[in-house]
Amino acid sequence: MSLPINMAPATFPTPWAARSFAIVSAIAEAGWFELRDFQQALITCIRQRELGGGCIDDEASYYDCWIESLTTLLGQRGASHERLVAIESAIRDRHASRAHTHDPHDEDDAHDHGHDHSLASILLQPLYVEQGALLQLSAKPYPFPIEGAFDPKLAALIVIDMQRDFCDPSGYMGLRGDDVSVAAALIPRISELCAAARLSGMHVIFTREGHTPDLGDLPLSKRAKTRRAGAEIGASGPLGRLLVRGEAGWEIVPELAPHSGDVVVDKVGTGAFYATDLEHRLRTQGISEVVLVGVTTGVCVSTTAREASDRGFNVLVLSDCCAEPDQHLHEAAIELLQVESGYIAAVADGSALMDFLSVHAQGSH
Amino acid sequence: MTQDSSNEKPWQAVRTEAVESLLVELGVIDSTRVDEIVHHYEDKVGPKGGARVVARAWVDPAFKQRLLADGLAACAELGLGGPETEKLHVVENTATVHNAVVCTLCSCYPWPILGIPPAWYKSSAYRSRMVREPRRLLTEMGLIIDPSVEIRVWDSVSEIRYLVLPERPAGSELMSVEQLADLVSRDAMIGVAKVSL
Repeated sequence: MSLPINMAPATFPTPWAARSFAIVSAIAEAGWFELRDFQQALITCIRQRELGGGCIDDEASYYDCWIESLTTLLGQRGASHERLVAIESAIRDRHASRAHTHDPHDEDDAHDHGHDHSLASILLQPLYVEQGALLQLSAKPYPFPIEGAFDPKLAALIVIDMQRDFCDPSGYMGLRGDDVSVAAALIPRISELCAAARLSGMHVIFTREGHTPDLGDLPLSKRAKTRRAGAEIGASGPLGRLLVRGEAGWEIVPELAPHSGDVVVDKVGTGAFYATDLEHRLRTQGISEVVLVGVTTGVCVSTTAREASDRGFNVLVLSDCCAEPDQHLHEAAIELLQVESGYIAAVADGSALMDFLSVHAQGSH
Repeated sequence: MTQDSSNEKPWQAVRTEAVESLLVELGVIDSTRVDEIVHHYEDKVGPKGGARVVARAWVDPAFKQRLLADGLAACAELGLGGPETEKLHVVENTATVHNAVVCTLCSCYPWPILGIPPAWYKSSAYRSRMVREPRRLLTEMGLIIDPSVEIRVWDSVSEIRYLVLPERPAGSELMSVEQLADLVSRDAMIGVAKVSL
């Protein structure tokens, strides 16, 4: 047989903790407030403590919050604070006079004996998830993230290369002779996603591909490939020099102009991690989930997904918020990202994220 | 507030007494009822109730079906229940899925079935890490889940509480329902331990 298992019923650490617990229960029974009102007050109190750098690491800190919440609700229900203070002062006086005679029955000073697992030593990673049930997004071929919960505050929406050079017929991609209407069609959907993401506390990051005016950061091979395609990087076009930093075509489309608080990452390659500070930023912010949208599915989105996956990030690609001029290649790229049971990424529609964030917002307090 | 001398009554104790006294003055509560509730939670409810439910589900497939369909109604059959829980969702562990329960915001817990939650359940560390990195946290708590087993973490809220139905240990086929109940720990019903012989 196994060792004795912990079946100790009550784990009230002190008599006052038990008492304060029972008082709340009795008030709820009496209908003076509902348990959920109390719970809201408790949640707020715990959150304030945790946001302030404190934490709940033992019974005492938890029941402190319990009593604070109870006091708050009393005030909200119109009980007199002055009266409460007066009663407290009388109790203290009574206790002080009794202390001289050292009453061994006053067990209110009993200390916490409710510890079983000591988690206090575990490094804290504060997190505030606000939804019931399973905390993942529905995605294929597995719910996202594959393990653990989706916490918007520790996730980034990465909008890849939604620049005029990729969305405007007069930009780089258009001059190559490719159909940019599919990219332009994403703009309203991505705009909606960005708005919902910002509201939820999700990080919003834009990438922007481009080279310095001297083209000193443009590999010859890349230059030759674009020349062969009929739109050489650095050549002049209606929106200025193609894919050159500072030119009109290089700007993010005005409808998606980054807000303050968003991050813009300038990149020179197809992947957003190559030769940028993106990884450093994500790690510094504690971000572990990245959600990718933008263009093009087969090149920059795919490369970024693979780079992120190798770095240990959970990657979700929103397939209807990405585009490739050739629809067939878009589908092939999406298919390949899910190869080997989602080895590189999980895939979902934008609505999966919108739905998750809206439920999340309803759960917010 | 204060911690001047060991003789001083803790502010929480003073506050609790004062709150009770004020509420009695206001006619909201009655101290006898508070005594009864303390007594109820200290002596009557506890994880043994949940253990009875689990053991019964192991030996009685029809009960298990009812339990998975409507946790509260099935628990009521065994005389367990109370006003604190509106909906009890029972999640079953299998060879491929391990369930664990957390309350990310505070301390929601199926009180009438399991009693008062343990201290660690309410800790910031458990509440944050259980959703972020359940596998690692479970390992630290002494439960190693095979990498092939999916871990599902359920977030308790005031409306829905969760109870994990652990896997019945191999070799327990000949045991009585009472003996089985003795095997089931509170931690197994939260999903941070397994039941073993």
